[in-house]
Amino acid sequence: MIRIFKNGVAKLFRTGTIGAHLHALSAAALNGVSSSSYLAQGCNWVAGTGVAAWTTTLDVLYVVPFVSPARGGLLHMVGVSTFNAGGNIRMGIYANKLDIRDIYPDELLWESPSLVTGAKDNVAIADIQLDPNRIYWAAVVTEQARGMYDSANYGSGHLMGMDASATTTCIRAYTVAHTFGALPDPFPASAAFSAPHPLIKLRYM
Amino acid sequence: MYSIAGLLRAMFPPPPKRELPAAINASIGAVDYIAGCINSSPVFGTIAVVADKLLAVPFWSPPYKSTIGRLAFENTGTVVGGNANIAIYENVANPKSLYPGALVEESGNISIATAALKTYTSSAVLKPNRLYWMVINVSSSVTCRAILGISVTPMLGIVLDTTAVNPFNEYILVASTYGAMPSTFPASGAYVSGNVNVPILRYQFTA
Repeated sequence: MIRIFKNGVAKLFRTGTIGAHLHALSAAALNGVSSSSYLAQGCNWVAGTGVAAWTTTLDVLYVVPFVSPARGGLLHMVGVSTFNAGGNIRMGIYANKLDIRDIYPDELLWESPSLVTGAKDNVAIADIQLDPNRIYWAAVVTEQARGMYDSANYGSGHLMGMDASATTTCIRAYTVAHTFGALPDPFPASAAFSAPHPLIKLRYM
Repeated sequence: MYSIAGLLRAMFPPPPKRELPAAINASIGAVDYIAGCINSSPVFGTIAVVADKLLAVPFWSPPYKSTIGRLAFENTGTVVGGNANIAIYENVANPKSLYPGALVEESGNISIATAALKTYTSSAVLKPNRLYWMVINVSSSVTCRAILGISVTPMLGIVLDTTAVNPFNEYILVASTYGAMPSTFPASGAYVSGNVNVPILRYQFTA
């Protein structure tokens, strides 16, 4: 009887399609091949054209959502590639609002130290435990305008929808003004929609 | 003292709720989602929506009971005296069959005489974690805003026996004279496949 019930529960919650896509692509732990990184908000990768160059605006905090692995996971490292030197960069991870109907960042869970940018990967150890199947937010702010990647071309997930008044623009990030420095906690209200967004890499253990 | 059910729940707690890409976004303002698309970087185009055909695109409901606040589409072309009717259908009872079933709500006539984003205030309540369908029918063929086929999430799978480069099933189409939506989606609908444009059928949550 217990086996039947257990199977029933498993079957009941075996939902697929959109949710499965997001979980599979945006949030996996270590695989059997080698360490790999995943993209916040990532859903697709179109060969050779999945990303585009893009330049941040200084003193603007960008946040993009991602879904944690189905069994939770230790988010080990966070990274952002930059193309040119100058100034500093900070990265962070926010929890979502407790009400899951409200897709919006809230409590700051982790932030990197200030890292001197360059034509390199800016990587910091996070080592924070994420709850399973939850929305989190990866954040980045740069002290100066910095070239980096934007998963602009088909590469980002549709978690945040489409501006209700727009006809050809989807939302891929939120932005809020923030003078470079320690990240705000909690995330400020009154963030704005943004189409461009930084490509933030996440590695689990 | 545990009941048997309580004991079983303690032994086998349900998995956490899934976080699907559909929320009311209370902190930031209302947003629309696009049926059949989990990609926020779609390539936009247009499609000539053909008259007297039900065109159905699937979408997945959030993991909680939710309420649709509005439905929308954009006609970029115009038809004097023309109308569109948009609707939500449940999936058929068998979740293994991805096909529209019972009508949930329809807009009734929405004029397409002027080009604009057209909205309908909805109050449809969706069950959690279910497949639903957005459907449009027009009285006269009209050009509508669309996403290119390459931007559509292939929830309907692909054509098996083909060497086509883009064998994805994009939506379901079935003949139906324009008017009130049928209470049950007609049988014999057919997949439209290939890298064809799909009209942007939008839905928004209020709860």
